[in-house]
Amino acid sequence: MFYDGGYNLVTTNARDPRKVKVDTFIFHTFFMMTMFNQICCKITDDQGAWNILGALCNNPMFWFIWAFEMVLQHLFLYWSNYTKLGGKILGMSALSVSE
Amino acid sequence: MIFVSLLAYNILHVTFSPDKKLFSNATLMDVSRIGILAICILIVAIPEGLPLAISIAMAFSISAMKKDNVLIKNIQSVQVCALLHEICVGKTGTLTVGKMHVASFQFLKQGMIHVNNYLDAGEQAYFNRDMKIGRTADANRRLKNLIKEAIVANTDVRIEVDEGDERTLQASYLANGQALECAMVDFLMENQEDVYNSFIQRNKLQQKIIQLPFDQVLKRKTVIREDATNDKMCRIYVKGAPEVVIQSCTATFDENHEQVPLSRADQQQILNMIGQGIAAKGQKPLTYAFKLIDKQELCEILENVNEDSDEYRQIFESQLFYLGTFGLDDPVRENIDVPINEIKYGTSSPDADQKEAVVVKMITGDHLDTAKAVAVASGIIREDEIDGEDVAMTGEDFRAKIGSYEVYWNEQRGMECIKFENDRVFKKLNKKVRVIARATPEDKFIMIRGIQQDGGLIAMAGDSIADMMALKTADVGLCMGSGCDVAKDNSDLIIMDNNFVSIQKSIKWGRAMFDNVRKFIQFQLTVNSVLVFVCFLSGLTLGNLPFNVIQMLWLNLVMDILAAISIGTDPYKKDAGGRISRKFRVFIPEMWRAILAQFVYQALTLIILLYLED
Repeated sequence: MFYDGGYNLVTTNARDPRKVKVDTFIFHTFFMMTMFNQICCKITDDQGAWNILGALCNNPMFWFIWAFEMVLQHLFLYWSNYTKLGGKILGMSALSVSE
Repeated sequence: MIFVSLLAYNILHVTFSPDKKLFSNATLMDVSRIGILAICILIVAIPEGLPLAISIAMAFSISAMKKDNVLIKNIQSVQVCALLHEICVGKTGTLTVGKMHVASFQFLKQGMIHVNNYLDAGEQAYFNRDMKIGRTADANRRLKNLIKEAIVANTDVRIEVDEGDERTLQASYLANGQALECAMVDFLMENQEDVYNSFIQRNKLQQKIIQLPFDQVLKRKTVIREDATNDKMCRIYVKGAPEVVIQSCTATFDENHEQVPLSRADQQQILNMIGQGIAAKGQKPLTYAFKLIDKQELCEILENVNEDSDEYRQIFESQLFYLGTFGLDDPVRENIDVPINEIKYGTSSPDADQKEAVVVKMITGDHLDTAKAVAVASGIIREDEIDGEDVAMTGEDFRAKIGSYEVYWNEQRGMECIKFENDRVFKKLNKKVRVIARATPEDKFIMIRGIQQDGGLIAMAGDSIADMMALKTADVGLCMGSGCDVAKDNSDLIIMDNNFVSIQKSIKWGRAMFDNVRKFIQFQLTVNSVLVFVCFLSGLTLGNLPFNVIQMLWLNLVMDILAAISIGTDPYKKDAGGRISRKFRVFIPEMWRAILAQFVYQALTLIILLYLED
């Protein structure tokens, strides 16, 4: 049942390509906002302090995971850009840098 | 809710479109797809990362504390550390090193205090040679022997042979036992006394008959042994706090080894001298006394008087011969004022009129003047505050001031509580008092439970048997690794390296844990609320979601597990001064502000993208 495109619950239906593009764009925007929100959270309780770098540089683990997530997200985008299967599973379409 | 909204949209959609049938395969597919999306949203929307973040932050703090040599026996205590209002510390072994050494002594009726200067280069201690207690050489020897005998007879110290290290191969005797008694035996050894043989002689000739162990309330220890020279007589040796022992001395010896009475005025004079010359320097005074008793009489007493009655001790510990008082120096730990100031004010160099964030108090069983000296040296109180009203007092005064009280078992709370005659008196006193000396275990208990009943959170740092009850009662019991096992058993955190800085660090790690959980909640709440809001809005108006299943799960991974690890493992801030207020606990106003701002910004951006670019 899952191999029949019409009755597939996991992958996204063939939709209007423009619509998919917008959705991908929304997803990526939301993801980016989430990532920068993470950085914001680290410095919230230091408000008023001049040196926010101190609060940002105290934990290498944070930046490691942050970079990992960023790389993975862009790999997803890349993947859905160039392969049909990736695009289908992730429900994304090509996004150019300007978008 | 989103499921319902999507379903409603779809049903309406299908009903009003003529080319589709309501009951067809396609509709079923749609419904199940909506179901799956709804489950995904549920997965994303429920902040299941929260308990994860809390446990990660906790585990991180705990493992970091282990590196700082804090052993955690009770995990709860780490978070309590962050909320503490007050810390009570014991003196010996906690603020001080716990290794004692005789620094000064005073004998008989002599009006001066001698300094034990064996540490000065080249100079041998003069207890043995130059010191003149008696007028003639004979009297001098006999008086010194009396003092020596009193020290050796009234001790539980074991003499062990230390093999020395491999290079020198120099064996030496080593006193092993309680720090105070060891210091006394060390004192004899420093003065070239043959302690090892004295102990053998003692065990051979002076059989121990009775020993009344040191009592925290009575502040004295008594040993009864046979007389070495006269087998009809026994000797009773008493040692303890000067104000207790000297009060029960009625006689002493003069320079010719003659017996002379010790009047009330004499007692007072000696006590004043000890207070100023020994205790005020931060030394712990220890008084020795003895008396002779006829063996026959002793047997009668043993037969007739009940062992548990007050009279029993009273008989043995009255009309004593005063021998001397030793001042034992227990150096304050190095640089202890730095962590104490950090705990109190959040910085190591506070302004003169800064208010304390955490109150540090000292409760000790020691002499009042000793306690005051150590409290000033360790930065618990400033020198100009020490003589203020109600700042430093003895346990006796403390009990007198709070009035009568009653300890009762509170069924509701499942613990012993105290009913004060007047709660307000205790509250007022508690605000002022910083040092309580000559405290009994009960005083410590009253202090701690009283503060708890007043709504405070309190930690106790101590390491002796006398602190046991207090350690158990306090919200966090801290014990030095060098403390006794009973104290360790009853405490929540054990400071393995005996360093007071570690106490301050455990407080900081507790605060760091709160900070990390706060950061995570702030992050998670923003992402969750934006996601749910946008999905709901788009489901209601457009009939489909901007995110598909895989995207949602990836987002979920990012915002739960990965974020918990990355945000939950921040180390403590260097200037983590202020304690976590109990009013706000986890949510502070800054967080709400940040969450709201982020939410509005993210939601607006997404809505614009959702509707305008289509």
